[in-house]
Amino acid sequence: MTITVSTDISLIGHLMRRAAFGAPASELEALAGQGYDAIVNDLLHSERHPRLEEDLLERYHSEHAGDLSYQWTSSRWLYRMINTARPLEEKVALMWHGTFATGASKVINPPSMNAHYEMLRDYGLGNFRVLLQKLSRDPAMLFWLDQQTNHSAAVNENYGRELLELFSMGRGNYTEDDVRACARAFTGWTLDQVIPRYPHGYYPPRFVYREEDHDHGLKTFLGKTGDWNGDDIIDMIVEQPATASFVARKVFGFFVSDEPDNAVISDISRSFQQSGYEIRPVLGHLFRSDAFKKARFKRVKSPAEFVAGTERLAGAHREAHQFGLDGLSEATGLMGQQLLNPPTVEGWHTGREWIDSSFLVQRVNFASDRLGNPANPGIASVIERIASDRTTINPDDLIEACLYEMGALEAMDATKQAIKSELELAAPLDCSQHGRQEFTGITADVLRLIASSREFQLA
Amino acid sequence: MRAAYKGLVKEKTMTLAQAQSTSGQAESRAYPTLLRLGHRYETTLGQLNALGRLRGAVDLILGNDGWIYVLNRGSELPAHARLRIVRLNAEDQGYDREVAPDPDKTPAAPQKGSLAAPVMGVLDQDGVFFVTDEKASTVNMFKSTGEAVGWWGETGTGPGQLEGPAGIALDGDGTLWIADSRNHRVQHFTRDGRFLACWGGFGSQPGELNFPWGIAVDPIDGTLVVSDWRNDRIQRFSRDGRALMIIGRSGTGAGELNRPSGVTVDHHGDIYVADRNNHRVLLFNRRGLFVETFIGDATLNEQGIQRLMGNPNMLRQRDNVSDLDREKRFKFPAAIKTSADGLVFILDAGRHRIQVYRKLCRVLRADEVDAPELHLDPMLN
Amino acid sequence: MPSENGTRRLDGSRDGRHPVFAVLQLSGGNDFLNTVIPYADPLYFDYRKTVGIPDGQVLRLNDRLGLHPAMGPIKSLFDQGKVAVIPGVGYPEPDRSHFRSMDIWHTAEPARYISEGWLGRVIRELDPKKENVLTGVSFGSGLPRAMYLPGTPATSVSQLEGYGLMTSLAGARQRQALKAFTRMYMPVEFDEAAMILNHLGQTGRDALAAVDLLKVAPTTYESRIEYASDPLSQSLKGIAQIHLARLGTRIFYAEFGGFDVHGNEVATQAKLWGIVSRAINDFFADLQAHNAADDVVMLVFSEFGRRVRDNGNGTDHGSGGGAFLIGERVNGGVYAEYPSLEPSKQLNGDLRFNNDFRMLYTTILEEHFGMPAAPIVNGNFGRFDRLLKPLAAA
Repeated sequence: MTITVSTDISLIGHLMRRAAFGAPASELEALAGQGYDAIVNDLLHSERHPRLEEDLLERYHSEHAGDLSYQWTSSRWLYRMINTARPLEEKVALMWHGTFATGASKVINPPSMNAHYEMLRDYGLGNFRVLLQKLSRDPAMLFWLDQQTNHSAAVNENYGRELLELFSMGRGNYTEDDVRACARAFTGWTLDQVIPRYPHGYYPPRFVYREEDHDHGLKTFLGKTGDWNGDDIIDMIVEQPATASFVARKVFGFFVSDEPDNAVISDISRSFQQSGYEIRPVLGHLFRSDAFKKARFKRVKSPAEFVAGTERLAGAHREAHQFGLDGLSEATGLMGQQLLNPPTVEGWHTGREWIDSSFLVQRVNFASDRLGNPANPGIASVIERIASDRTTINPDDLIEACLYEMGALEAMDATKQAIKSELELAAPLDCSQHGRQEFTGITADVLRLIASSREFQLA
Repeated sequence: MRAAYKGLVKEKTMTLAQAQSTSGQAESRAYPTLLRLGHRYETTLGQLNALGRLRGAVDLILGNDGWIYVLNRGSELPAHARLRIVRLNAEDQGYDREVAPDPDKTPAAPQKGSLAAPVMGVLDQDGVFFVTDEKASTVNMFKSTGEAVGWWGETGTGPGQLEGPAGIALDGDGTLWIADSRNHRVQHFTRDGRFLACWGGFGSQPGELNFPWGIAVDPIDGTLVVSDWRNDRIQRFSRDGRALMIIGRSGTGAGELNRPSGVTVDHHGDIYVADRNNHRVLLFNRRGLFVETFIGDATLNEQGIQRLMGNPNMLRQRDNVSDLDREKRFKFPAAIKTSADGLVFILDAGRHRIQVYRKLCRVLRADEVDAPELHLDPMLN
Repeated sequence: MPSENGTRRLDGSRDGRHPVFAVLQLSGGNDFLNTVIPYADPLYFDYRKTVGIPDGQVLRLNDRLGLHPAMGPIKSLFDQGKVAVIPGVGYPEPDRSHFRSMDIWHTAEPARYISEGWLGRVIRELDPKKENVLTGVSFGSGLPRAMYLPGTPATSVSQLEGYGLMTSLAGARQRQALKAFTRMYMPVEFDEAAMILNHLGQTGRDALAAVDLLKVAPTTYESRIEYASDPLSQSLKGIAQIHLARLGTRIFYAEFGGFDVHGNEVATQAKLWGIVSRAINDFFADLQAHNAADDVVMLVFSEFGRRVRDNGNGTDHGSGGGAFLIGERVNGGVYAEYPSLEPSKQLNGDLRFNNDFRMLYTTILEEHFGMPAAPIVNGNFGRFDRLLKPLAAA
């Protein structure tokens, strides 16, 4: 007899892997009663749920209270991914972080990187126009792209160029003259001088607009001439169809599949324009679309998703006073994604490029260690659930049950066969109290192998 | 202890100790009445990461050997131990020596008896430091040289067992009081770890606690003053655990608290509270009335100046800073200690320094003030 | 695996020899001014009031420069003519961020942010068909960016003992899990959806192949050299084991941290350089005892130097560091001028670099590997003449 997985549960599992950080079957079953649409709505309306209270984090990790490291911001971020009641907010922040990639290596100011992350999180689900306005006033971003050296008398084009190329329209949709005009419109958008780090630590810089350093001359941007300032430029950028399709491509790549599908991207792009550049309804439309529902296991999990999702299944790091949080940001770094420290302004190479032999070793060892350990509360609970209300289970059912418990996963037959035969599973297993110890060990072995499978690398 | 801070005790102003000895009645008065002159900022000790380094500082202890000992928790360098006890001298303001434990001998993995996550410490008459560790749930003993001389503590929820011990206070009788934080209670031990009593328990009613942090023994009457951290209040307890007084409530206004951490009671019974998440320190008198707020007045010390002199680009940057006011202010003040000389040492943890204030006041004799009953109605004045 | 008969040329082999390059990265910003000390310059002692090394203790290289007293073993290698000291190495517009400066060294690109490492590009040249997953091996936590190049396999080992997949298991259980892993990562029948699965499969099998090869190294290794127990010595021991096992590794990478001496510099630096010096000496002695030192050149570098003036207890981030090249093929000596300590010659309180680090890279690529350097370092930066002896004469 095989366990029949209702399509609802596996669809909800898919949604939770994409719009959140994955969920074990116990959570999926609790959600299922609401129905798919209601779950989507609840994810979209993050404001219905409170943010995590972080006083315990601040207290128990007081070595970081001075904001000495950006790794602390990334560890806290991972803690939120694991524990938040607003997962889509964190997920979208991760998407924008890969898009507006700003790195601590240059910013060298952890409080500023923290503020940058909070900006992505707080405005990431709102209106894209507002997001660009916030982005253009974000001290970490401005410093990252040399905006403080963009003066009316000496224009630095770095921010102006990347705003068009990497943050909105994409290459081929503007000219070099537009870049120049854009950069001129942002002259005077700068930071105040921070108090130097020595001797008492970091102070975050603040955005300032220096009217006297702004170029008030006429500028021609995308064919329109005027004394444009930065916000005028943003208004014109978001009117461009290129911007809508740029955002649509980002959304598609992040939420749907590593392989682009132009028809779906156009559809997202249209709904984006119709919504007046509101991100939330676009995501709502997308999550309800067939294209999304069908795109199961079409994305390689990013290291942050991989680590947060694995820890969620392990049931670890649920208590703020648990030590070892630093290990989370270290783990994503070893897998090739140091949060808040992307390699370049283009962000990380995603998709198949997350899979590199050195990174894969880290992923396999991390997940098999975490999910093959019955001492982890999440794993203990999975084993308990499988063993409850039965006394024996045959090997095929055990493998299916493990896949189901890990969030209604799917695996190729060859994978299941490999697990079954290499673990030498043939006879039915005794999962009553009598045989529980052995059953626990075997189930942990199955979970470990699923965690090290290639299917587990995909979301 | 006097010698410890003689660099700061150079003013002609009458110190508290002098005031007490001249009044002649201070000891006999259970409730000294003070003419408060205010507090004067004295100096700033320590800096980030170089001479006098503080990093992830959690508590300070006034030594009886002329040094201020700081418990440090963090380092960005994995090669370094997570704990350092730094000795700072108020007089020459600078020399530091990392006394404990030897980084080479500190195991990376936490284990009983090796400090993993120190929280607070006290020093006994024999010169032994007792330091709580909220990760290993132990109390660890060190000498001022950094040599570990023992540890005790069993993890658990039963009487005498600990879960995340935080504040620790030395009683006049030589016993120790510990804020057993994740058990939401206070426990009483002998210095060798024998369990004497425990009281408290989780909740927000009077007498109940929610992750208590700091604890102090009132030197006048021996009551216990506890930072009831997550209840945003200070509670005074009798020695057998009866709640006698509640001070403060949640908020950011005058006399309100946002996750208070360290607490100390000085020789007049004045209660200094590190109002950690409001980034300030509050003073309450022994009747629980809010008296005064400290927000920080730090100045650059000689080490800070030297530091900047070696970093010319920072000198230039600093010259362009608008609003240097921010530099004076506390960030996550964690702990406070007062000396018999009337000095108030505030560990400004988020800024890797200690700010030192001097309490200015005069202890009044009984014949210098009205009879207490006249004060029941303030309008009488 | 590269053949041993000397017929391959594309991989940088020359005349049947396989040049091997080992990088030792000192992380945190080594204080070069206290490593190679201009002890004859009175300004040194003016600026280094607290952390200065008394000239009586300096291990003299010549009448102007000397090594830190903890570097005895390096001094003796220097005396044997195997150490090239290159002061004043850096790049334009020095960056005092650890991360950024390290990235610049790793990508060989100071002006732009790129993600591909310079050694990744070298590995691609050495092994264009990706025949050997062990062409590049790094020791430490994670692959250094220097060796990262999408599509080019490189192996990162934390410790050779116990390295592998499914490391939470041991013995028969680990073997069982690895057998299952191998089966789970087999090729699948081709269709579009299988592309990523096959990429995963190939990568997983590559990783496992590396594990299997590396497992052999410690078992065939015998040596009279007793390496110390610190992580660097253990990394260099692992490198020696892999090199001696002849697994075809051409690029090794090791990292050692703790050089960020803002405070307590005197004690810290002595301790660190004691470890580094002994480890390097043991490493070369080990290779020599096995007659396997001739083709190995080691680069020792750090992301930046430190301030000229000490801060009373240590030194803060600066620029104008320096590097060492060590090995049998190295023509020992001091190359290049030591940057001046004159206030007017300093750069914002730092030593002013006088040699672009890409010149050093170019020398290694062209002299050691016989490989055109310009495409790897993105430009022509010149090279140090006669820094390396001709390979045939080695």
